[in-house]
Amino acid sequence: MKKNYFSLFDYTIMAMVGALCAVLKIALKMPIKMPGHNGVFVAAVILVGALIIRKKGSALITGAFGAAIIAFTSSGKDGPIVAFVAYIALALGMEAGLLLFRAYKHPNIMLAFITAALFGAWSKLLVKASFDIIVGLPLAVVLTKSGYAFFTYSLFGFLGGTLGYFIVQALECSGLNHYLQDRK
Amino acid sequence: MNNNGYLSLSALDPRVKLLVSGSVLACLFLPFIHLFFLLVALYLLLAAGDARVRVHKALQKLALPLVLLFLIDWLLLDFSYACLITLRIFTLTLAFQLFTGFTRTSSLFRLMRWLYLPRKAAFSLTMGLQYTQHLGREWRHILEAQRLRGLPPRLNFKDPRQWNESLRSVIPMAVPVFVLTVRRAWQLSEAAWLRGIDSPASFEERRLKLSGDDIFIILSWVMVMSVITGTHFI
Repeated sequence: MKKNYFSLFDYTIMAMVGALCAVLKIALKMPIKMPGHNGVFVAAVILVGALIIRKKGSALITGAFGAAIIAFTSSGKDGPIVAFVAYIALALGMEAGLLLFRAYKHPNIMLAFITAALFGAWSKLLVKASFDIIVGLPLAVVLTKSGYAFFTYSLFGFLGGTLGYFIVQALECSGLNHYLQDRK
Repeated sequence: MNNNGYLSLSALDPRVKLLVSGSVLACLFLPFIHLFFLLVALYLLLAAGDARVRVHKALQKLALPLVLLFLIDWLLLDFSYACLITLRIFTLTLAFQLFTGFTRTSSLFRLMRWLYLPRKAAFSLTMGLQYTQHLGREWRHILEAQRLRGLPPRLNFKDPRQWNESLRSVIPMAVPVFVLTVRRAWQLSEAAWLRGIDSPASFEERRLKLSGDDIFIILSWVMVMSVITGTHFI
C-alpha cells in the first residue's frame, strides 16, 4: 500500500461516517429487543462510507473509527472493550465481503452489499460468542444464545446490506459522486 | 490533584489508564477473592478521582444483563461459579470505563501518535469523536424537517411484509445526512490542510509526559498488582 493511499479528506470522511455510526446506534433505537438489531444501521452506514471512498480497506478503517467512537461514547451492555473488538470484527467481515465481489469497482451489485453485511454480522457474533467462552460461560449457554442470535444477526445483516444498497443508489442519483470527483 | 482535592482522572496520562485497564484484562482469570480485591482497588482509584457517580451511571446499563447472567449460571452450574463470572465481566467493564470515560480527545491524539498511528488518521479520529454530538444535533434537525414534510421513518421490522417499506422510509433521512457529513468532512479537511496537518514536513507536536500523579499511580498500581498476583502464585 502506498504511503499516501488515503488522503486527509478520505480519513476525515471515514471518521465522520464512523461518528455517524455511533449517532445512529443511539438515535435509531428500534422497539424490538432482538440481538443484532443495531446491525441494520451500523452495517448500512459503514457500507455507504466505504463506497463513498471506493478504495480497498476503506470499510475496515471506517469500521475501526466507528468502533473506537462507539467504545468512547456509548459502551453498550457489554462494555467498551467488547464493543470495540466486536465492531472491528464487523468491519473486517464487511471488508472481506466487499473484496470478494470487487464491490469497490462495481458498486451496483446488491448481492455484494448483502454478503458484506452478513459477513460482518457473523464476525461480530463470533467475537461475542468468543468473549462469552473466554469469560467462562458454560458452552451450553453460549451455544443456545449464539444459535438464536445467528438467525437474528443474519436477518438484520441482510436488512442492513439491502438498506446500504438503497442508500448508495439514492446517493448516486443525488449527484454526490460529482461533488466528490471535484475534490479528490 | 484538582481544586476539590480529588485526583483528576482526565488529566492523567492515557498510557497510565491503558496500563491499569490492560493489567486488569491480564489478571481476569484470578480466583474470586483476588479478583474481588482487584475490583476494590480499581473502585478506590475511581473514587479518588470523584468518578463514582459517572461510573455508577455507566454500570446501570450493565445491571440487568449481569443479573440475568448470574441467575442462568446459578441455575445451570453453581453459586460460586456464577459469582466469579459476574465479577469478571463487572471488573473488565469498570477497568475500561476508566480509559474510555476519562480520556480527553487531546490526550487520545497524543496517545495515537505515541502508538505511531499516521498523523492524518489520529487527527481524523479525534475530530470524529468531537463531532459526534454535533452530528447528533444535525440528525435531529433532518428528522424534524422530514417529519414536517410528511416523511417520518416508519421502522416496523416485526412484520416481514413491512420490511421493504421500513427500509425505504429511512432513505429520505439518510441521503441528506450523508451529503451533509461529506460536506462537513470537506470543510474540516480544508481547514486541516491550511493548518498543515497533511504536510510532509514534520512539525513540533506536544508529546505525552508523565507527571508526578502519573508516577504515583503507576507505582501504587504495580504494588497492588504485585500483592494480588503474588498471593495467588506464592
